Amino acid sequence: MLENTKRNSRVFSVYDNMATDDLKMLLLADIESDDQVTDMEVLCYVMALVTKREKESGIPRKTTQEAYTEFRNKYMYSDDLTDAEDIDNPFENVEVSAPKAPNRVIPFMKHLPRVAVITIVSLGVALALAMSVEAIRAPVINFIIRHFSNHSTIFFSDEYTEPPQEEDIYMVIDGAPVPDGYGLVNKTIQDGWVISLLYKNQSEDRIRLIINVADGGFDFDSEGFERQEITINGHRGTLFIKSLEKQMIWLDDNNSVIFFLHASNLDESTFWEIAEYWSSRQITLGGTR
Amino acid sequence: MKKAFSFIFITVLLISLAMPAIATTDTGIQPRYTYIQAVSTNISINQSTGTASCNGYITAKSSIPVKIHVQLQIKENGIWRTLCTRIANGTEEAYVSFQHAVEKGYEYRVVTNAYAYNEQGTLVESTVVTDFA
Repeated sequence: MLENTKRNSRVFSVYDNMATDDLKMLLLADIESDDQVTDMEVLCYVMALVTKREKESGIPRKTTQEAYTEFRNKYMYSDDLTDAEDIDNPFENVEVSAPKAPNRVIPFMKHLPRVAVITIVSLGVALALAMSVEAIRAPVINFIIRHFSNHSTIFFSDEYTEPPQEEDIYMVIDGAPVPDGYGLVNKTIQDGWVISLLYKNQSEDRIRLIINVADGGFDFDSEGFERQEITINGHRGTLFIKSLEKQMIWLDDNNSVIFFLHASNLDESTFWEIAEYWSSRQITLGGTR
Repeated sequence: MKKAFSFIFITVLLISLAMPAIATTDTGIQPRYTYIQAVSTNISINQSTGTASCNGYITAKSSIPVKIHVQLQIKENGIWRTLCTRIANGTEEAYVSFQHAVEKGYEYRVVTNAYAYNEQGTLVESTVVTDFA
C-alpha cells in the first residue's frame, strides 16, 4: 500500500498543482477524445483528486476505489465488460486522502454484471436462432435466398448431385410455349453456365428466361414484388408478383440449375404454363462445376 | 420472476433486432435495380487441370447499354490481388467467361461489377456480385 501511494504521489504529483476546473477539463477532453489509449491510473487519480477538492468545498467525497468504479462504468462499456471484470484495480485499498466515505452504489451499476450476463446469454440465443433460419433451408433446397428491400440474392450451397441425361436445349427451346403475339428475339447460350431467352410482342412486353448454373451468386430485382413460396413440378421456388409483372425462380431436381422466369405483362395462367413447361425439362449446365 | 421476465424481454428484443441486421449486413449499401434485371457470377476450380473458370452475366430490363467487368482475384497474405480481368459490353445483356491457371493452396474469388448506361452513355446503375472458390 505504501509503495502504491508513493508511486502515485511521484507519478501524479503534477496534477496536484492544477486547478480543479483544469482537471475537469482534462477529464472532459479525454472523454471526447477519439484516442482509444487511456491512462487508467491517471484518470483515476484525477477523478479522485477532483472529488477530494469537491468534498473540501462541501460536496460529498469519493474514495479512490469509488473513483475507479466510476471510471470503469464510464470508460468500459458493454464490449469491454467481460475484460473489465478481469482487470485488477490498481487502487484497491488505496485512498488519495480523506477517510473512506460510506459506499454509494448507483442501483443500475449494482446490477450491471447481472444485466451483462443476461444480455450476453440473450444475444447468444438470438444469434443462434437467427443463424438457424438459414441453416435449416440449405439442406432442403440447396440454396438460400435473401430478400432485401429492393433486390434478392441467391447463394448456392456446395452440395451437388450428378444430373440425369440432359435434353437437347435447342429442342427444348423449340418446344417451349410462346404466348400469342410473342416471338423469340434473343437467344444466348453460353457453354456450361447460362442460357438466356428473350421473347417480345409488338407492345414491347417481355418474357425473359434465364437458366443459370446453380453456383456462385445470382442477384435480381425484387423491389416492390409480393413474394409467395410455391412448388412447381415438385420444385420449391418463389413467385414474385407486382401488378402485371411476374417472376419466378426455382431450382431443378439436381440442384444444379436455377431458373429465373420474368414477364413484364402477362396473365397468371399463361405465366404458369410457361413455368410448368420449363420446370419439367432436364437441362444441364454442368460444364463449370 | 422478474429475472425471467427480463430474460425473455431482452431475448425477444435482441431477436427482433438481430434479424433485420443479419438480413442486410452483407452489402451495406444495397443495389437498387431500376435498369438491371439480373446479375450472376460464379467461379469454379478444376483441381486436376489447375484452372479456374470464371463467369459473369448481366441482363437489363430494356435495350440499354450494359457492361460486365469480371476480375479473378487471389488472396495473398490476407490481401486480394487481381490476377485477370475481362470486360464485355452489350446491349441489354453482356457476359464474360474465361479460364485462368491457378495454384493450389490459395483462396480465389471472382468479383463481377455490372453497369447499366442510358442512351447517352451515362452510367445509371451498377452493382457488384462476388463468388468465392
